[in-house]
Amino acid sequence: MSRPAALRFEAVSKRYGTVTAVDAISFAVAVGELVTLLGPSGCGKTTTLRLIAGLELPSSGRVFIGEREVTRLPATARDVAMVFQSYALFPHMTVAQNVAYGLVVQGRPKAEVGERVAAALAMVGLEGLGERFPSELSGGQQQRVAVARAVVLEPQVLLFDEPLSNLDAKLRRRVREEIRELQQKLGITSVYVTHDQGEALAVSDRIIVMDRARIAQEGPPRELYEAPASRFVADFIGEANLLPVEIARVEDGRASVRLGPVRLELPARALGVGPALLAARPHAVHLAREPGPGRLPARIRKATYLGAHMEYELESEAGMLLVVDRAVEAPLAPGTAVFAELAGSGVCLVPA
Amino acid sequence: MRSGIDRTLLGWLLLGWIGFTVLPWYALEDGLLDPSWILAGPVGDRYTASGLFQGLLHGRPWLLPLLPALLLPLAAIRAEADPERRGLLLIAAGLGGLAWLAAQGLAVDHRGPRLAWLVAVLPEGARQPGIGAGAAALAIGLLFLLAHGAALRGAVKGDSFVAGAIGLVVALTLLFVFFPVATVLSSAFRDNAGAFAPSLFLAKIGDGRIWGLDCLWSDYRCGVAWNSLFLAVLVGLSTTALGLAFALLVVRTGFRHKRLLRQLTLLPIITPPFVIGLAIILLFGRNGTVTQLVAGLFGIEPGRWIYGLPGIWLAQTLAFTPIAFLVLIGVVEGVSPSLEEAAQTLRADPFRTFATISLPLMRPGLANAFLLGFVESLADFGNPLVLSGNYDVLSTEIFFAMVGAQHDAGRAAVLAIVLLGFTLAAFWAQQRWLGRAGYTTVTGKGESGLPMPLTPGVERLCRAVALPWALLTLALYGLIMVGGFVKFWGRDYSFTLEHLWRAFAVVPGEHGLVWSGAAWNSFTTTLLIAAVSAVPTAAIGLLTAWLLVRQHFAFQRAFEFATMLSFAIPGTVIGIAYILAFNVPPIEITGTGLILIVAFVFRNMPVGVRAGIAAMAQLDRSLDEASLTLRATNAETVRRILLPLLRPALLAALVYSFVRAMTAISAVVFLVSARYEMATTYILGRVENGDYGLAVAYCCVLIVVMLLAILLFQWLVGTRRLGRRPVPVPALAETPA
Repeated sequence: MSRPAALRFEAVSKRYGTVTAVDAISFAVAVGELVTLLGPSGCGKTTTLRLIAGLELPSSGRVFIGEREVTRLPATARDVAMVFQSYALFPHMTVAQNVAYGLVVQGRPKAEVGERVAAALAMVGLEGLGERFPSELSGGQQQRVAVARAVVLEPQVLLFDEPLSNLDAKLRRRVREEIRELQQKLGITSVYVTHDQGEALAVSDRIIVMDRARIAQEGPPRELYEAPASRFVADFIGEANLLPVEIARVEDGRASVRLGPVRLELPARALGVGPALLAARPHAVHLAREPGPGRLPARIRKATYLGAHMEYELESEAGMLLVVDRAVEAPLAPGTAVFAELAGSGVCLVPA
Repeated sequence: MRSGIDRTLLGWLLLGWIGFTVLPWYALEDGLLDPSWILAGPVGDRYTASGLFQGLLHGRPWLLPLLPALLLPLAAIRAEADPERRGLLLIAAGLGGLAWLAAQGLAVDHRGPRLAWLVAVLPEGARQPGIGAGAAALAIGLLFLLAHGAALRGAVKGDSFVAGAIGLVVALTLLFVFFPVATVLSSAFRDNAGAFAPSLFLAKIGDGRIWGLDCLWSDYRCGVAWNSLFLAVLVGLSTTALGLAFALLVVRTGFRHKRLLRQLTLLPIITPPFVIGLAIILLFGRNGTVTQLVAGLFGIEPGRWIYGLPGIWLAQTLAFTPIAFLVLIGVVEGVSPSLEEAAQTLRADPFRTFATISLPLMRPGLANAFLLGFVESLADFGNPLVLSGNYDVLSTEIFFAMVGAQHDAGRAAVLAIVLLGFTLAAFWAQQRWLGRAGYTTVTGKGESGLPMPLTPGVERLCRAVALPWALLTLALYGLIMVGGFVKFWGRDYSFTLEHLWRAFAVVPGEHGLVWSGAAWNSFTTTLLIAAVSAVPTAAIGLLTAWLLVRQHFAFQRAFEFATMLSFAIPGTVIGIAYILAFNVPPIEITGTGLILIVAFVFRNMPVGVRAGIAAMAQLDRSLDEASLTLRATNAETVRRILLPLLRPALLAALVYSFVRAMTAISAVVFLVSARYEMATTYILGRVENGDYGLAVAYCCVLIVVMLLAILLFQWLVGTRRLGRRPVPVPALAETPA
């Protein structure tokens, strides 16, 4: 990372009594980057976001925004802004008053406030709606007001707490694009919290996957999907078949793996000889009717028609396999004997 | 970073300095407007001088050690210095100053030094009256310096506003709830000369008049403690049963006059507590309508049977059933219909469903209603006073021990401790046992089930119980409305305005109108004091609610318990505690209007807290957080976001504390003076003199005034509700703990 960090956590922990919500995590976010905190509920991602905002203060560790240490500073004194899950628009203020709020409490001159509010509303495409009350707007519009209210302060770091969770599925995709576009246009450093891995893959420069108060893995979306570092990450991002395997030999970074009756050659990823897990994406398993080298004999247990593709549940010596097959035209009936070939970028080894 | 002078510190320090050097240190006859103070200035004389000059010139050197507490903060005034060090300085100054202030006030009172060795040290004739504006201003200044210091050292996330708010509420609670109660406790351990006498305490608390069980096997009376307990259990049971019948009728049947029944819940709010007792006398007393009717028909000699247990039980059940009703409406509504539907799909018939699912789910609510009725009965003072006859209960016994011929403050204190023990036990049971055991059946998820109608048998039972009772309640209120306008109840039922005129006469005099009615004095005092006390009640109540709901700090549970405690203390106990604690310096406010206001504020504050908590629970916490992340401070967030959104709750707290202050009797009866007479005590006085006509007419006027206040409130909130912003509207009613 050559760019300076806009946000840095150094071994930050947050404990509530005996419960540790965030356990000594460290990471940095570069200027202009959008980083997503991803994880199941209760993994500490929202607490991490609130620690950035200053709504919670850490039990130990240090927090930096820009060059300045803000560990003990409350939210009021930090140069961040947040888009809340519920939007948290003030119901007794108009849209314009909502957007102006942060500027007004800072005592900015009236003319400047008016100008900046108008610019922010124009930016999110809400010109002319300034005099409405939040309750008179649609969900998507309310969401944009929340974004405008946050960006109008030109914060060093912009925080999103599951901003799409209150929108219906169709709207979600559009607003997701809008947020990403706006963030890139303004070049504003952002931290985004979600439990939806699809959303995370779509908007992020980098994803930090959290599990039980710790960071499980961080990296660009592609890396996380294709090379998960653990069973948890493989399972959480996208679906994955996790099959127990035995690494027999490692040579030149390639591992020779025994999966049931077949042998496979895969990148070793720093694993040694011994038991491991093979993570295979359902679309990376190809079905053939004839046996061949590296093909795992199996039987179809269940076939489900899902419109765009077929979903098969396979029974094999190595275990159960979930397979996605594009060939909708010629579905295979349950009971059919098939041979599964595990190949390509969707297959990799992870520690057992 | 900020630079220059710390303005928060400067402000509070300035207040402290003004309090110590300018304002009169001791209380003056006419308060701050006393001309003698304005003429004499801060140097003044023994009565009017400020603290500094009292210490320097007027023979009260023990005040001078307060000076360092005001000098020390000067060293911390520059904002750039190390916050840890500045905080330490301020904490030292604040704590030291407050501790010295309290110590000197308790050590030297109006009779001189209270400890023998002090007599030798202090100058001849060392004594001091109660504190005044100067000492109060200094105390407030020091308190906030202390809080600011704690915030500088990182308490409550370093927020000076929150620290100050906590400090303020804690200090007020200590001063006006804990200090008086502690005084009662300590006076129970003293003989009437003031000497420590633990053996006397044991003798008093074990007294046969309190715990005797003679009535079980002889004609002698039982102890007051048993009387009170027995009555309270009876009232708790009957109000819960009746309340449940009403609630089922309203929530679970197609009964046509539901709205009318719901209005019953308003009655106890606008009724002075003894009014029901009064109405019962008008019906069943020796000259009562029913009594005379029965006497005429059957030739039975009119008796006094109503005076005693039957009368009090009837009056309290009538008075407190609406409270149980209100609680149980929520409980019955809270039983999720989908659970009942589930039971029915599992082949349970409607009656079995009701008996095995609905009722058990209501059990915590029923227990809660019982405890409320139990506590209300224990604390009730007005009804026993007019109806008890020979059946003594604790609340009235305390009163007679204090003001009657006995004038035994020690015995009153012991009785107060027994009563306090009972109510605290009930309060504790409610918090400890019910607080956890509640079955939350209403979830956040949308539920579409329909509430199950009652089985015909249960519905008939509810109707048979509730409707006659509702009619009786309405008849009694009707009686109150009529009773003030007949010549002589029981003998001459012809219409007259004479009673009303005696109470509220206005005649033209030489200099305009003369308010010659006998009730005007107490009526205007009541209105004024109720209105004045409503403002701090609502303000402190909502502030406390905000601290409880929206802030996190150490000992928060203890803080919550302490602030709710005054709710559990019966009015009579508060009354006697205030009399004992505030009759002598350092805080000498007995006989003033101030003591009435303070008593109302701290008795009614928990209601404001409850209203605030209920309203704030409906405001998403992320609203505050959004405001904070937009650079607003906590103080600004309260002012710009919470207060506007909580306006209905604020109004409710204002109206409710106003109305409660107008109807209060139990604490007030100890605290009124010739100059500050309250409506309720005046009415009770008339009742004791047998002047029922005027008393009833006055009650009518009070009820109408309070009804108007409440209607005005509902109109104000209602018009807001029509606006385009959805704002949570709290119910104007007692929210059960």
